[in-house]
Amino acid sequence: MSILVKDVVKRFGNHLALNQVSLEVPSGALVALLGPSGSGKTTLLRIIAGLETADEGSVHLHEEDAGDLDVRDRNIGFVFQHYALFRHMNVADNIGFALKMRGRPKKEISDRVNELLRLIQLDDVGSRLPSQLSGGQRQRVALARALAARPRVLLLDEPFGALDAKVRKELRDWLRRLHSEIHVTSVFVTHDQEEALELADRIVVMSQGRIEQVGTPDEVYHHPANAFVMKFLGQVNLFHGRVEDGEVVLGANDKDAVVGYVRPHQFDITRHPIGKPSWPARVVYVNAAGVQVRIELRLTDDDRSLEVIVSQDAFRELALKTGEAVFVRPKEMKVFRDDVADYAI
Amino acid sequence: MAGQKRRALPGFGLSLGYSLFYLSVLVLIPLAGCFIKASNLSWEQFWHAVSDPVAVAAYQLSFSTSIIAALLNSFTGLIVAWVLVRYDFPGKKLLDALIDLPLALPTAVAGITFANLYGSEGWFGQHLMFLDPDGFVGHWFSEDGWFGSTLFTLDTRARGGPLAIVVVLMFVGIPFVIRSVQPVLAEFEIAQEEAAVSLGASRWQTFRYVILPALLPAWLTGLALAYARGLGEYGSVIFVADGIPGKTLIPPVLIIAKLEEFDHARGAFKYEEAAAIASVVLTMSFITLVLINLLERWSKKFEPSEA
Repeated sequence: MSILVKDVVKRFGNHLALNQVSLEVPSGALVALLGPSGSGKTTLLRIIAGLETADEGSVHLHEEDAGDLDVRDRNIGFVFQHYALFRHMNVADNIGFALKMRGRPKKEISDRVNELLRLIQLDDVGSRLPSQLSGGQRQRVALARALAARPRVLLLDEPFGALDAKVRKELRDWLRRLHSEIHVTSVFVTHDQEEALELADRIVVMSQGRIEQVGTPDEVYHHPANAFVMKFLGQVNLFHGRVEDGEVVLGANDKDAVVGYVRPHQFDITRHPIGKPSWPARVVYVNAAGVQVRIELRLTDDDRSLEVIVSQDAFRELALKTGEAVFVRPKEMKVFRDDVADYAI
Repeated sequence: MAGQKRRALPGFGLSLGYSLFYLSVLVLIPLAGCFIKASNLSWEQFWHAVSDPVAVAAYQLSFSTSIIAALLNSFTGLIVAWVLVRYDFPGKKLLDALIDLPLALPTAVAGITFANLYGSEGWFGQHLMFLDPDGFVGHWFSEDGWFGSTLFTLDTRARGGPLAIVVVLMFVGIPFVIRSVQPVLAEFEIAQEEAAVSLGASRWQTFRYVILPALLPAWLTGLALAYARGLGEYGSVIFVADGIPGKTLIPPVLIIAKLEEFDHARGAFKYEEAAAIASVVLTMSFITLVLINLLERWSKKFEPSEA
């Protein structure tokens, strides 16, 4: 086990930032800490790094209690959201910083710097200043700098947060390839579920200082442990209702009420009712630009909006137009009561 | 015009014209007058006036005390700025306000206070008698002392000597280093320090390699301003220095003395000689300020445009 976090509690004044958090990260894993802002994900990352100290609980790095270890002795690499490159040093000096601080010989430093510049595919920028680089390049330099002293653990705080969408995508793919090459145990913080799903091999979903679920991208997406995870990982449509004979009856709002969650792509839209449940609805809005077609429906029974996504093929077959009456049927619905997962229908 | 940029606010011609006029009336013309007046002297007369040992000693005194005071201020100022930016403590606002006091206070007030404090009866002065020529430290550096007789003599007196001048120049120079460094330190990205520490830097290494280079331009600016302020100081120095020609006389006092001196041979006051000395001080001040500016520009080489 590369990182072992046990019962960590962290308070900032009256605010409980981390509430009894425990986490295991196996060696070589690429783990995402995913959650909305204020969920404690960055605090957890900073506690692992040693940039914050836990009020209670312990952190072990490679079977060694890191509680008494100063940041500089933890042998971690940390990548900051806004790069935090040393502005007055050129790229090569930035990357070589960790080795210079360790008093390594000049030759060794320059060899390692060149090796890392090749790794981040920026061979010819060694003598430039960070201010002369683009955002994506700066973040790659920051990553190389963090890797220079061969850390046992790489920690990344919203590494792509400050970049625009296209660069973010490129850098994400690049980081995944890099990780498959160097296999350093990595933990990154993100609030972008797509980023977590695409990059990580394990996702830790956090909310309000707690871990809601830990699992592979497939597990957390298809088998969410609770309503929060369901809602946070992608779009959902909510149905309040009551379960009668394994079927959700809409509209109930009493103490037996449950909430059903259906993702936009888990609907069938038909011209005629087929099977049950199948609800009458009206097409309010259609956006066919993109890989898939986004349709907004309004349920005839209780006047609520539904977001449905269908493939371009299915959309052409249906030939839907705004204002038309249709029937909509959930193919799959996750039902949670009191935020505890019970069953799916 | 081709290639000319359009600006949101026009008026370059007018504002430049105003700036030049303003600088001319208030700075350039009066300073030029100093040189013109001095040029009434023949070259020999001019050289005689400015190379007079008393005048040379006055320049040396002024420049050396100013640079020493500015250097001392640059270290203490950095520490004060650090404390004000990085820590919260009761009375912080008051301390912050106190820093600007030397700017507003008539320096004569400071002069009287310091003259009293460091006088032989003063709170500090009575404990500093060992610095006087007959005290055990002062004697060492005096003409009869070991250091003074073998190397060079040094006026170490707490009262009336160069040390007293350094103390009042430090007083008037306090705000400059602090106010220059403070905003830069306040805006310094904490993540850079955290990055340094995470990369294995010790506290000293973090300061030396990461924080200090970022502060350097502002620090040098503060140093230059404190130094320039020291060169220009008059009010407090005349109270604390005893003004012995060739020893503890600063150029402004010498200039006044020249103005009051009647030249019987020519039947006029020595106005031109005063102007000659003034023009030397002016030129030397200007050269040192240009040098410091160049140093600053060099250190700003790494200023980030945006990062």
